[in-house]
Amino acid sequence: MKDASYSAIYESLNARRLSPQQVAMTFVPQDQFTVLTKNRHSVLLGPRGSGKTTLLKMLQPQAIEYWEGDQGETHRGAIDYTGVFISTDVSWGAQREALGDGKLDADVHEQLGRSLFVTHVLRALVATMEYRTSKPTGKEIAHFRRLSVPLSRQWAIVEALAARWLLRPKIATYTALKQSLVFRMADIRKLAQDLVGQADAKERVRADENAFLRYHFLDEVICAITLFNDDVDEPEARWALCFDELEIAPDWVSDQLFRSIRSADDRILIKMAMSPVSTRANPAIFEHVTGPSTLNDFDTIRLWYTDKVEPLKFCQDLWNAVVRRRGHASLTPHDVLDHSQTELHSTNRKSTKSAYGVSSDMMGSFERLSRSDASFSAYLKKENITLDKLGELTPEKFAATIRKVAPIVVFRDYFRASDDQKRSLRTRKILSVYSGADSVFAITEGNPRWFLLIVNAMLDKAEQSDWKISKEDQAEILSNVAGRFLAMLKTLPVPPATVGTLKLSLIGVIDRVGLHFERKILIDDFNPDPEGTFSPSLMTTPRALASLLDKAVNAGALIYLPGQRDELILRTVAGKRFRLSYLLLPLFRVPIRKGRSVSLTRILKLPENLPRTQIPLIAESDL
Amino acid sequence: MNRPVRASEIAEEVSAISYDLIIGAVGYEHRATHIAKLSNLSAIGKKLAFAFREPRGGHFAANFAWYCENGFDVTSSSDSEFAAWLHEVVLPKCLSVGKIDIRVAVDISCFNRYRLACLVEFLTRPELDCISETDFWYSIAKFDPPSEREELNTLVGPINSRFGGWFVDSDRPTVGILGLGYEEGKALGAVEHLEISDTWCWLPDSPVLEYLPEVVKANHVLLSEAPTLKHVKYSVSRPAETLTRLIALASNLSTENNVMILPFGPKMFSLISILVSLVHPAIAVWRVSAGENLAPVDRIASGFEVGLRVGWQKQR
Repeated sequence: MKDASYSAIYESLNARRLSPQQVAMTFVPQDQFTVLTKNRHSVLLGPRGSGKTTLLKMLQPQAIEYWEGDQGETHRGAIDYTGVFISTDVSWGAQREALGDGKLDADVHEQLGRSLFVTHVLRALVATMEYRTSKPTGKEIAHFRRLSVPLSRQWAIVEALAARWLLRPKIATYTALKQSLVFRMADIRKLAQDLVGQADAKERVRADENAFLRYHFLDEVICAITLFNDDVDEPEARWALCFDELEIAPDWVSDQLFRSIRSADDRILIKMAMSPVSTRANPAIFEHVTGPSTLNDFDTIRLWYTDKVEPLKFCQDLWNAVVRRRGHASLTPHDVLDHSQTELHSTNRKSTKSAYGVSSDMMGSFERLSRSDASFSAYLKKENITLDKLGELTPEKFAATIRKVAPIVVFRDYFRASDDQKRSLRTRKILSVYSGADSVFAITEGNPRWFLLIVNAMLDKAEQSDWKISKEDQAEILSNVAGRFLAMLKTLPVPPATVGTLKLSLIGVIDRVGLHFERKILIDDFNPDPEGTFSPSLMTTPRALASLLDKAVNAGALIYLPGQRDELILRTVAGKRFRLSYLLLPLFRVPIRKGRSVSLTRILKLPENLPRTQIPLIAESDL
Repeated sequence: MNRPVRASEIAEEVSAISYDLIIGAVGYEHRATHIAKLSNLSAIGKKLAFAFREPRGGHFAANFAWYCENGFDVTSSSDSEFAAWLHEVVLPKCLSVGKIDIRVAVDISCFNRYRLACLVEFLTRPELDCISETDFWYSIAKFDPPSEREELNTLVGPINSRFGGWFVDSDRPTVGILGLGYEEGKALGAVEHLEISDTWCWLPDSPVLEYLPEVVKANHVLLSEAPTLKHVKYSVSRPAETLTRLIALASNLSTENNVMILPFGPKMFSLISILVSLVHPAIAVWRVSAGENLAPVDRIASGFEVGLRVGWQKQR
């Protein structure tokens, strides 16, 4: 039974909308969080929903104090700086862009936009100072960097900051100072409107009374923390400025932040969250990230997973947290979701071979396919495999010839009609082949947003039937979520790319890639190592297509698979390797695996087909 | 800037009202001339029509010809030139009427949302204190099933820069008020893209009865997730009532949230959303648009016309 607080917090699915305390109450740390908490600059990379905002928010004292359990205690001991979370999102970015209703001189507009951003940063900083010096409520799990500062000293700091920032708070408290900064932002907006059509706009921006328009945010942050630190007798205390969604912030922000990494005051840590591809392509960013010295300047933390095994532990942790909140801590994923038809992860040789026993589902798939698919039968013959003698295979041979191809076999058996029917596909609309704990976890990509959406929906359903959910119901939920993801991708404002005679949308590219892999798995002759990943060619990828692919990566539709020597922050997708998000696979009837890489150019030469993504996702089975 | 201070449904037929100025849009839809044809054109002093550069086709040529033949001053330009057209052409026409209180009719049926926003913004100009009321007319289209063709969006953003809203505290949760249409998944996609945490779904109850079930079907995922308490059915035929209800909801929500209205569906709801943002400037009105990639879909007038009369408070 869910309680009201559970509903409000868990179902929000979006850390941006939760208070730091709420984020902390439901926080399940990924391994990457430990890297982020280090006393170093960090760049947190990941597509939307991967947890960037959550991790940054958790660095604030307002969150750390509410983090229960051993991990909370450990991190409270390990983090020796004060985190300041600086939010941004699409709507705030657009409102900043709309200053002056689009009618201002470009220089004036930029000046006002910068000032707005600086004020926003200072407001976040003052809010954190306010928190550290405020009286605890008693609800905190433990205190973190709290200070007891006499009011008279607080007044002095606030008055000094107000004087410097040309503010006039009604009273000399952090709260009033914070409010003054909020009013300042409204004043900037009003000034923008007043300056529209004014010939002296530039002069007015430069006037002494508007000196605040020319502040440099890092300089002002350093002034503020110097005052604060000195007053509380922590002169070397460090502050971490945590910037979210850097790709939405103006170019100059990321430029200044990267420059600051090398030159800033030692008391400032910079922690940035951004998408894997820098769509603004600010050359300054890449000037900073190349070169051997940059290896020591900051940690680049990857928040996506390249394969289905990497996120399993995190998914298990998320599961445990979810079921615990529902009051059923003992429920395991296999209790509720059962096992997947395609065994994804097993290190137990004995249990692996028993999964291929005579009357097992897996063996059934192998046997049916050997009868219906001549190319698979030929494969078995070529490898000298007799299905009723699998026990005689060496572990290495078993792994290389049977376990490796099992997902492909299951899918071919499930979806293919027999060779007699000329390699058509069964129109199976219920994709129960994706059900089961391991498959479901893999499909979520370890993305907390999608994980919570999918798992909560499945648990809601399971709760009605003794905590078990059928394969068909799992498949319906996965299809609905895939459809939801697709709806979001269709909304993205991405101009189509012309490739040869093709005019391709983002969805169109995804369609073609998915259909290509579907063909390789299901229609072409059986191949034990079919294509499953792709690479846009360095030489033949038009800019418009690269731009479209950038957006697909940042949205999480395409997953970047960096090689050992590849940089994580991408300046271009060309020459890099990608796969489709596992969340989209149910739309294309492709098993959850990586596979060999193929050139994207070759994929896009496919003839026109009905786009898979336009086939309605239907709930009823036609079996 | 003038502000809307009163609104009412127009009880009279459009033909019974004598206007000093009528503004229409020359588009590719059949219904582009419907309101103008119903009007008492011979009694209208100034007649202006704005033609789209793109997309054309469909019934555009016939509409263009009709407007020209019936005494309309027709100008063509792109979206980006529209605001300038209003200032350079429409403003002098309004001022040249020479009356203190001129009656203006605007047929919003074929204006896109951006131009609608520009029009409303224009009407709030302090120079236009000669306009105390504006009648906005909307011709409800006959039902046609939703197009299966995929629209490629090129814009997700404020309906225009004037109505982008102002979120004083970006840390506050964003609540979306969605005027639903029958394009499948469009509202859901916008909610996902903008990461809106809480949604109120406004369903259009149209006198053309076939629409509502299609809207429900196209948005079934979104509707299943939002509590039924947050499903609001509004009458397309009663825009003044809808405006009042939307102002009430939006102002209530804005005390603790950042509020964003996404007006899919009937154009009248878009107009109402813009008027709400005029009353509460912090509220954002956003659009999802295919822009010039929009595939032309013809719409024929159903015979149901809706009028919203807005009274302006003049502020110099």
